Amino acid sequence: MRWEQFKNRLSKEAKEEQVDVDVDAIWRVIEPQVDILNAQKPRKRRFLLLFFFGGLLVLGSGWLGYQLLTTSADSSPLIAIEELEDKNVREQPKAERNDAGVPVEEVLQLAEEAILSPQETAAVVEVPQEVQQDMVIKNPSTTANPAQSQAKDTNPRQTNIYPQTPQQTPKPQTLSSRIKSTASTSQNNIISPTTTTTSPPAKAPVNPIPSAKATRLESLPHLPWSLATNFTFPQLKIAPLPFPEQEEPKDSPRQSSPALQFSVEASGGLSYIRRSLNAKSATANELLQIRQDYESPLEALHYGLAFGLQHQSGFRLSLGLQQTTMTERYQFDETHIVIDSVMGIQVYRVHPRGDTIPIMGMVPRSTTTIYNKDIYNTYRLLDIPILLSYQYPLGKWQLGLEAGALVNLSLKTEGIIADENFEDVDIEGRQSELFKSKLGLNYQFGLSVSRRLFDRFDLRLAPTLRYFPTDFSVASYELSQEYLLLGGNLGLRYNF
Amino acid sequence: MLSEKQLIKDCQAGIKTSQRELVKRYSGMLMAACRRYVKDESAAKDVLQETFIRIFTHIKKYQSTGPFENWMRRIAVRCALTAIDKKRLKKEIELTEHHQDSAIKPEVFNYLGYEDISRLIAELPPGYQMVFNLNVIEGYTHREIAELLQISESASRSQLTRAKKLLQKKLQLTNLQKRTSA
Repeated sequence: MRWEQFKNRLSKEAKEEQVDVDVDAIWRVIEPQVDILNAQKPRKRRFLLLFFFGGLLVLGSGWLGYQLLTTSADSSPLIAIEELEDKNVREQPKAERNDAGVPVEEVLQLAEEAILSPQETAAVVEVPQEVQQDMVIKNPSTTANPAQSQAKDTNPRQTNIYPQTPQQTPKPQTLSSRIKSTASTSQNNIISPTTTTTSPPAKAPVNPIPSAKATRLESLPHLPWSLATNFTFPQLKIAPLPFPEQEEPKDSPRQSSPALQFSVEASGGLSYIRRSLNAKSATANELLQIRQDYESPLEALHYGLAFGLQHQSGFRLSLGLQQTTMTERYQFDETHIVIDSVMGIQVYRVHPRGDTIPIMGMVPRSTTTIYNKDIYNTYRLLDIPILLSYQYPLGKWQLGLEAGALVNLSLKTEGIIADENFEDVDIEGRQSELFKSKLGLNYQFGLSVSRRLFDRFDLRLAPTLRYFPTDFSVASYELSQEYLLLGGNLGLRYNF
Repeated sequence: MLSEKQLIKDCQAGIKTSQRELVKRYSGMLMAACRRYVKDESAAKDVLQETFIRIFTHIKKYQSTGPFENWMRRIAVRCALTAIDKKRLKKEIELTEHHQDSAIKPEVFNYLGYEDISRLIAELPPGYQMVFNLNVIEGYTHREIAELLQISESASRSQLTRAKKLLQKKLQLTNLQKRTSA
């Protein structure tokens, strides 16, 4: 490698050579042109970054909008009273019972319309025990025997304390409707159904037919006025309002899917590389042979993060960021023999007188060089994958078909390849002369199988095919270099 | 004093003082590169001016994939080659004679300085000299040399081989002369 050593030293010395120059004269000549160049505004091509962040913004806005819509529906002021009462029954039935604070007018009205029983009235307005007893004593006509009361009480209107006019027929209203109409005037005085009906709380069943006797309400010290003494509470039969246990929906994977579902997925995978090297001209055949003989593709490793949006119809759009590293090996085990000639002593001539005379001339020389090279080259790609897929649900599993494009942001190469003279070429330092820095679009197709692991998390496996239509090498390089990747992806997806 | 990285950044941003600083810092090196291809002093100055204008025009495309000096030197070489008569050069390449095989030892630097060697290189025929400078000093491949000089790749290889042989002879003769005079 003597020539290499001479070449390297000469190159180094030449590059360090400096010549005296009149810098001011040079600057005076070029300054007007430099001013023109500086006045030109640069054209920035950042559309890829804008495209990526714009896509993220669209997805984020869509998710926020979806969240806002579902939240506003939940908090509507037009919620039915039954729902609120249901909640109250489940959560704090006893508190409502004690803190009902129902205005007296409503209680009396309800009593008048034969909705509330004495016990219920007492429970709502907190009638003292002695008053309750008074209520019973002062109405001896109605005995403690509910059966007798029921037998006698064939016409509630006859025992009503209020003078009944033919016109004054109480409307048979359901408890719910009655409560609704009163709730509009008194927001705080919501009568819990459990306090006014015979519907049972969670555990203790309540006899829907009040067992208390029909009594006469004479006067209550809590009330601002007194009622007529002949007021009788008729017995009331109220069917219990259904309060089925509202069970939480089981976490079944596909039973209740919202219209739009967002997700984020982290994935990684390996691929087999299929490389295609071709000579661009006949003079490149030697280089092609060298690179095909001494280079071999190994594997591609890729990992990334993606945001997805899935419609309930099964279609899904995802956008993310992915890095791919393709590795190749350059292995060179060769022995080179170079035969040349150098100036040296060809022969010694010995004079009879004893003098020895060296005869100079060209002497052949053989140089044997053994090369053992084992170098790993990498091609690193940074892409934005934009994939459209269709997911078909099968219980906890989902089968999918996906296709899309990856927008390449950068290609970086590292390592060494050979040139036609078997000399090393640094593909990192000389990337701009050999390989492109951006590849444009490449395409991906694949199938996917995903399974719900636990709440909101899916595991996804996807065999893929990735095709690069663009030549990795620049136009001036003698060989074209194209790739096809066959592999698989494993990902963990979080749905929200 | 600005670092090279900061200097490049400022020049990309169009800061005039940094641009002048770049001219001051690298004009000596670039002029030496131009003089290897253009012998005439005034023609070399024109080439140097053209080189700096091209550097400032394309500096925003510089992506730090290699040394900045190499990038500038390549621009200088291309500007120099546009200034020479390529047709005449091509004709000279085709008419050059064959020489015997010889190898150049790196030990030649022990007894001959870089100035002596560069003088001997300058004495080579223009075709040999051009290909030798482009391949050995600037690091161009034969394909690139063929594109630059509009010759075939095989012609570039043979020119280099012949240049090496001729230079070897010249070095040996110079060495012998120095020893004899000593």
